[in-house]
Amino acid sequence: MNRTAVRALAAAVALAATAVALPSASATGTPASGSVALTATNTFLSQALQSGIAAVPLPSATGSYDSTAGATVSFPVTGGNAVLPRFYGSLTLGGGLAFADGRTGKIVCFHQVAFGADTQALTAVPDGGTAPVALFDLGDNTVGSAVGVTPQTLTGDADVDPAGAAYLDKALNTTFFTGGQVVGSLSVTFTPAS
Amino acid sequence: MRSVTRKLAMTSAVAAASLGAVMASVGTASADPTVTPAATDIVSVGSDTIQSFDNGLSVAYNATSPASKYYSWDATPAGNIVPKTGAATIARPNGSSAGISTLNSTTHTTVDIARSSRGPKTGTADWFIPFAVDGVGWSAYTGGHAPANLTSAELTGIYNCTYTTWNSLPSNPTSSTATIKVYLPQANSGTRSFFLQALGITATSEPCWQTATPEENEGTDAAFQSNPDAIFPYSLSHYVGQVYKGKGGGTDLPGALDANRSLDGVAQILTASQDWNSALSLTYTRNVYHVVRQADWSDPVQGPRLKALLDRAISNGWLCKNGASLITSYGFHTLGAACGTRTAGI
Repeated sequence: MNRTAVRALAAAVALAATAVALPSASATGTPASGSVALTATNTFLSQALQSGIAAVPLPSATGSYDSTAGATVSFPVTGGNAVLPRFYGSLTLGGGLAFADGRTGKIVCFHQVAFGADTQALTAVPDGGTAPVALFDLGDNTVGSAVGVTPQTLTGDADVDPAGAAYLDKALNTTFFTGGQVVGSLSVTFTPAS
Repeated sequence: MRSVTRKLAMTSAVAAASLGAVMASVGTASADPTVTPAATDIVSVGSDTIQSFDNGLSVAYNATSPASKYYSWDATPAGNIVPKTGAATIARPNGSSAGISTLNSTTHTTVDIARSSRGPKTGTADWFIPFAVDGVGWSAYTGGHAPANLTSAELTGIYNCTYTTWNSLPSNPTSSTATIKVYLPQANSGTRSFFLQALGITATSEPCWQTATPEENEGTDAAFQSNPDAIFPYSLSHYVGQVYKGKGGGTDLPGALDANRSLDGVAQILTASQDWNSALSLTYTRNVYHVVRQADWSDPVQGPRLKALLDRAISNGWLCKNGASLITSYGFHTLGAACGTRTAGI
C-alpha cells in the first residue's frame, strides 16, 4: 500500500469513528448480545494486498490477526429479531468496515452493518449512501445451532457477494473482487434480548 | 472459476426450473420405488408429511441421470421392506422419528436418508439438512361444530383438556355443548411432535385424546367420518398440495376435514393465492429436513452421493440449487440461501 492510501485510510478511520451504538434491550431485561466475525485467510489477504487492497475495521468493530487463521473483523450485535435456526429476521451490528486501494488511492467506508438470517448475507451501507450492499455471504459448509440452543450460531465459509464485488470494484476502481470469491469464514453468535 | 461455475449453475437452474414446471403439471408422483434401487443409490424413509414431495424429488432428480439415483419409501403401509439391493429387511418406518431411529440403527447399505418434519434433538450422530418451510395448523370436520377461529390459548386448552366442549371455549360460549374429539397422529409423527411442542404440551398422553391415531394429513381416516366434533393438526403445505396442487390421492386427502380455518385471527390458508399464510406466527412454522449420518456426509464415497443431492446451492447440491419450483409445487415455501444449512442432532 502506498503512502497516499495509508494516509487516506487513516483519515477515513478517524472520520468514520462514530458514536458507538448501544445494544438494544427490553425495558428491564438483558440486551441482545453476540457478534459477527469475518475472518479472511492469509491466502485471501495476500491476494488482496498484492492487488493493493486493504480493509480496516471501524469502531465499534474490532480487528485481530492470527498467523494461522488470518485477519478477523468482529462486529458487535446491537440488536435484532433474528431466529438463526429458523433463518428468520436480522441482526443489527455496530461498527463499520473501510476498504482502500493503494494503487488508485480510493477508499470506501461502510456503516449500518447488518446480518440477514434469511439471506445469510452481511450487508452494510456505504457512507453517503442509503441502500445496503450485500458484501459477504455464508457459503460452503454452513452449520447452525438447533432451535432452543443459546447462544444461537451460524458458521461457514465466507464468500464475496456478487453485488458487493461489483460495488467494491467500481468504488475502488479495481478488478480484484469476484462474486463467490472465497474470503475465509463467517461466524455469527447471537443471544436475543430477554 | 467460481464465476464460471455460477454461470453454469444459473443455466442449470433455468433448466431445472423448467423441469420443475413439468413435474408440477404431471400430478402426484409414484409412491414406493418401482424398481429395486441399486446398492449405490440413495434411499430415504420416514416422514409422511414430506413423502409426496420426496417422491417428486426422486423423479426430477433421477431424470438428470445422477451417478447415484434417489428413491423414497413411503411411510405406509405397515410391513417389511428391503430398501435397496443388499439391504437388510426392515420394518417400514412410519414417521420422522421412526425414520431417524432406523437411520441410526442401520448403515448406508440399508438406508441413507431419513425424511423429517421435526427438528433435531440433542445429539451429534446426524446432520439435519433443511430444504423448505412448512406451516402446521389445525383442521376440523367440515360443517361441524368447530369455530372458524381458535386462539393459541384455546388450541392449547383443547389439547391439554382444559376445554372439553365447544361452548367452553372463551371465544365461543354460545356454540355446541358437544364434546370435542381431540385427535393426534401416531407417536412417531414429526407433525405430532412439532404441534404439541408449539402448544407447549409435554405430556405424552392426555385423558381427552382419542385412542385412534390417524395417519397424519389424512382426513379420509374412518375416525373422522360423520364426526362433527373432530379436531386434528395438519401440515398446511401438505393441505395446499392436496387441495390446490393435485398432490393428493387415495387416502392422502383432506377427506372430511378442512384446514381452511384461522389461528389467532390469521387465516391459515389463502384461498385466492392457493397457499398457506406465511403471516402465521413463527411458532406454527417449521423447517423440514433430510437427515443423514454425519459419518456418511464426511465419507469419501458416501459423502459425494449425498452432497450431490442435498448440499447448499453454492456447493451444487441439486435440490437447493434447482428445487425451488418443485418445492412450491407441493405447497411448501422455499428456504432460499439457507437451504442446505446443516444442524447436528438426532
